[in-house]
Amino acid sequence: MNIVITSIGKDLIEENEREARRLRSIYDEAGMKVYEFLGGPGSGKTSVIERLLEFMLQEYRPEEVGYIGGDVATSLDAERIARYGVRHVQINTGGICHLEAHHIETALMFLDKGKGLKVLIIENVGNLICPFNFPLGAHARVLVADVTEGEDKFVKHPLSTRVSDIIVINKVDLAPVMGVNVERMVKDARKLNPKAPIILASARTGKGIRELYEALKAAPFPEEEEEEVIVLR
Amino acid sequence: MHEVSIALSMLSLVEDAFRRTPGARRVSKIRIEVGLLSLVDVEALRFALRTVARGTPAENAVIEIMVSKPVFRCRKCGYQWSVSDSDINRIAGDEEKRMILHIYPDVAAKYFTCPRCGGNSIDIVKGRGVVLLDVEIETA
Repeated sequence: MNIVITSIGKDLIEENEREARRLRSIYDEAGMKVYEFLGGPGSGKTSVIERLLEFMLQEYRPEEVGYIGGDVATSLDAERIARYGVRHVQINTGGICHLEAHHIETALMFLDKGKGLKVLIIENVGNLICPFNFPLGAHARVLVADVTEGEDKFVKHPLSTRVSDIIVINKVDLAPVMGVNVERMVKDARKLNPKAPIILASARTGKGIRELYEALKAAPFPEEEEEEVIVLR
Repeated sequence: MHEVSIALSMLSLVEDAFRRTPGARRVSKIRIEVGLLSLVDVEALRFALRTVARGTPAENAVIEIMVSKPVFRCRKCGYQWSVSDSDINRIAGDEEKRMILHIYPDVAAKYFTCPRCGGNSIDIVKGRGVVLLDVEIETA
């Protein structure tokens, strides 16, 4: 018996980041802006997207707008989005708790590689942890949290809060009923993420959706400044 | 749970190596390096890899996982240094800050200043990756 040692030396994390950069160049080549929506289950990602589509469709024709939805099972989200007449693909990850670059690549094949699209919305699997480790190259990552999830949502998920480009606090119309201090949520989010616009929204009443639409137009956002220093001692 | 995805990618690399090795019988060892700032849990990764490797030539492979210390480089003077866990504890101070350091590696650099010139613009050179180093394959 012999033993052969094969050196591989491949960094899987770096690989993910490379994949994300590759996806970004596909988006740019197709000439579309890509917005990724992330957040826990039931935070209202799909509802916020639906309301956002109402604004987008005043500017774009339905065939210029694409939607890729990730869920562990069912095509319920894509069916909701389909009502707006936009091009849509549902990905069922079959248990995987986040979308990965190869999912997007496959979905793009069903969208003619993005040809003719001006905007593509990617709705990640409802999960506040794992998706943040798998960048998809989007021009903006939008974190959707809602007041019913608990006031301490942001402090409990510092990474997600930190890497988001836009933070939406959804269902603010329910804050009085829930006895939630929205101010405190905003303060927590701001502490972890000094730059992202924080939008108080309600997909039900439509509050904040125009603001979100305007904020998305500013994407892609410049990388974090290199010289910024936080000294904690 | 992202450990499962990483394990699956690793397994496919291991299987590639197995297929390319003439007379390969089984994978006897897999060596992995996990950066301290990688957000990957070593035990979860080991468990995931064992699980996904079931029924493959890597089923009974010894999984060796090393945790590597982060390496920082000063952007101003180019000096490179590493830190020990106790340094991280000392510099980062209380529990909450250590947690942030663990969960948000990109912020790690901001907790440190260059020990040579005092500069505080720092790159993380090493410590974020999860590297499949090599595989040991038994052949006929």
